[in-house]
Amino acid sequence: MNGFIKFQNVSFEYNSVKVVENLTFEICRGDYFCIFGENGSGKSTVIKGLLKLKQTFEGQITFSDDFKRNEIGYVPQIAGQLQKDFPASVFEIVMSGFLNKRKLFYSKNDKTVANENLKILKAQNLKNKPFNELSSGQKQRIILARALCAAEKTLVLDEPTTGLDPSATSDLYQCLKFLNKEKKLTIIMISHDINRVLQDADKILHLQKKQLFFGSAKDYFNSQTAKVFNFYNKEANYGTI
Amino acid sequence: MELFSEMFSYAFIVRALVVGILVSLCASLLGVSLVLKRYSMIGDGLSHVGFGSLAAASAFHIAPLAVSVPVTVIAAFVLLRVSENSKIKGDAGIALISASFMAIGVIIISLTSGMNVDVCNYMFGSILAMSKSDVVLSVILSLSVLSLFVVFYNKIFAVTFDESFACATGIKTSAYNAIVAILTAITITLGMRIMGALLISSLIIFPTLSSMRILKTFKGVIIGSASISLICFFAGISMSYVYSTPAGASIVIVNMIVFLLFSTINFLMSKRKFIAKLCVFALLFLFTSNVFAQPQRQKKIIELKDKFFIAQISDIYLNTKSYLGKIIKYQGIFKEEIDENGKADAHYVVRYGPGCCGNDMTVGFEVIYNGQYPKNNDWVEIQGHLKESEKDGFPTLCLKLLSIEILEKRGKEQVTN
Repeated sequence: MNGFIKFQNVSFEYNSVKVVENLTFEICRGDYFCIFGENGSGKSTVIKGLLKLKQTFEGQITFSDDFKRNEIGYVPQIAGQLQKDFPASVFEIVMSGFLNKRKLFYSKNDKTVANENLKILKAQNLKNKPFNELSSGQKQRIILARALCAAEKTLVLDEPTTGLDPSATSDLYQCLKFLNKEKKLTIIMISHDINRVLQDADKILHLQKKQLFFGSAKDYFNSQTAKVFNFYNKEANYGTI
Repeated sequence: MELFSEMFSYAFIVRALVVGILVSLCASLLGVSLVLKRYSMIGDGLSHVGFGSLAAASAFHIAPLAVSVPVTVIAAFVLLRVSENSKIKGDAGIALISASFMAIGVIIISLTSGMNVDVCNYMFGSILAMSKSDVVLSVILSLSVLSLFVVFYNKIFAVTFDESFACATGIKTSAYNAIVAILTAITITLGMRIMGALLISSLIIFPTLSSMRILKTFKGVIIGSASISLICFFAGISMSYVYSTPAGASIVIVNMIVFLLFSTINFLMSKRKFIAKLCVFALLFLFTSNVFAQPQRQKKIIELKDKFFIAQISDIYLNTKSYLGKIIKYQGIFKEEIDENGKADAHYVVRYGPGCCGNDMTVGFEVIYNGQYPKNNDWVEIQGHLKESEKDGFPTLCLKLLSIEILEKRGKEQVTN
C-alpha cells in the first residue's frame, strides 16, 4: 500500500495525561478516511497531530516525500465559533484559503475558483456579506469553501456538519463524495453521522482513548466495534455498501 | 488656513508631522492585527520596555534609538512567546514584563543623572525631541514597516483571522507573528517620541476600534483605521498648537472623540453603512486637500513667538547646523550678568520657562551688540545672526545683534512651551 501518512505507535498527551495512545495506521492517497469515536476519545487530537498543530508524545508520524503541507485544506471543529467580532467579508475569508501557495497576492484564476467553491456550497449569495453577521451554519459553509480553496490534494475536516441543516449536510456529503471520486482528493474526516459516512468512506479508524478499529469500511460494518457502538442505529440501512 | 501656514513655518513641527504621520500610519495598520488577536496591551507593555531601555541608554550616554529598538524587538518576541505557551497567561505576562522594565528604568534614573529632559520627553511625549538624524532614521524605519505590511497584507490577514488554519495548511505562522512583533516594536519605539510611553498604545488601539464601529470588511477596517489615525494625528497636533496642550494627550483626546462619534454613527445608522463610509472619506478628503493647498513659506528671518518659544529654542540647540548664520528675531527680557568686579561681562535676552520637573529656568540667547546696551530688565525686541561661541571652555550659541529696540509694552515673560 502507498500510505502517504503513517502513524507508528503514536500517543498524545495534554498536561502529561495521555489522551490517546498506541495509534498505528496509515492513510493512502485517494482515501476517504473517516475517524469515529465518542466525545473525548482523542479524534481531534489525532487530526491536530497530523496537521502538526500538536506534538506527538511517543511514536512517529511519517509523511511521504511527495506530501506538501500547502496542499491541505482544513476545516476546524465548530468553525462558527471563530473570532466573534472579526471584521471580514465572506469573500476575503474564502480567498485566504489560497495563501498557502507561496505567493503574496491573488490571481484572477483564484477568484474564479473561489466563486466556484462558493457555488458548490450554495453560498454565492453570501459573498459580500460581513462574516460575523452570518448564522453558524452559514459560517460553516464559508469555512468549508475556504478549505476547498486550500485543498489541492487533501482535505481534513473536523466534524464539518456541526450546525448545518439536514439538506446542507446532505449536500456536503455529496460534495465530499464528488471531490473524492472525481477530483481524487484524499479526504480525512471526523464525523458522527456513521451510517451516512459508511456509504462513501473507504477506511475507518475508531478511537476510544486507543485504537479500537482500523480497516476498510466493509470490515468495520461487520466488526464487533461497530455493533457495540451503533446499537442505537439498528434500523439503519447499510445496503449500499 | 492661517493656522496651518503658521504651524508649518516651524521646522520642528513639520518634522514632527512627517515622523508622526508615518508612525501613526504604521501603528494603525499593525493595530488592526494586534487588536483582533487580543494583543492590545502589547503596545503598552512594549512602550514601558522602551522606556526602561531608554533610561539605561541615557545613563550610559548611548544613542537612545540604537538601544531601545533592539531591546523592544527582543521583548516583543518574548511577549508573543509567553502568550503562546500559556503557563503564564498573555495579559499577565505583559503586565509582568512592562512593570519590570519600568522599575528598572526608574532605578537607573534615580541612581544616575536624575530625571533629565530626554527621559521626561519619553514619558509624556514631546514633538521637540527630534534631531535631524532621528528623523531620517524614523522615516526609513516607518517606510520599511509600511512596505512590509503591504507586501504581506494577505498573509497577515490569514494569520490574524485563523492561525490554526493557516498553520495547518502550511503557512509559516510563527514567521509572520515574528514580523508583526518586530514591526510593532519598531513602531512603538519611534512613536514614543511624540506620544510618550504612557500614551503610545492608544495609537495602536483607538483607530482600529473606531473603524470597526462602522466598517465590516478587513480591507475596509485597514483603510479606515489608517485614515482615522492620520486625521486624528493631524487634529491632535493642531489642537496642541492652538491650546498649548501636550501633543500626545491631545492626539488621544481626538481619538477618543472620534471613537465616541463613530460609536454613535454605528448606533444610529446600523442599516445605512454606505453613508457612514462616505462620511469617513469626505472627512479624509477635506483634511488632505486643506493640507496640500498650503504653500510652504520660506522665511528669511526666523521669528520666535510666544507660542513654542521654548520648543523652537531647543530645536535651535538640537539642530544648530540648519540655523547657523540665519537671522533670529524675538522679544524678551534684557539681562546683564555682573562679574565679581562689578562689570557687566555678558548680556542675555531671555524669558522665564517652567523648567523640567520643578527647576526654574530661563530660556534665550546670549547677545553681543556693538552699540549701546539697554538697562537691565528692559523688555526688548532683538534681531541678530546666530553664531557659535565658547563660554568657560564649552561651545555654546550666541546672537550677534543687528538691532535692539526697547519696547514700552511688556510681552509674555513667562512661557510654557
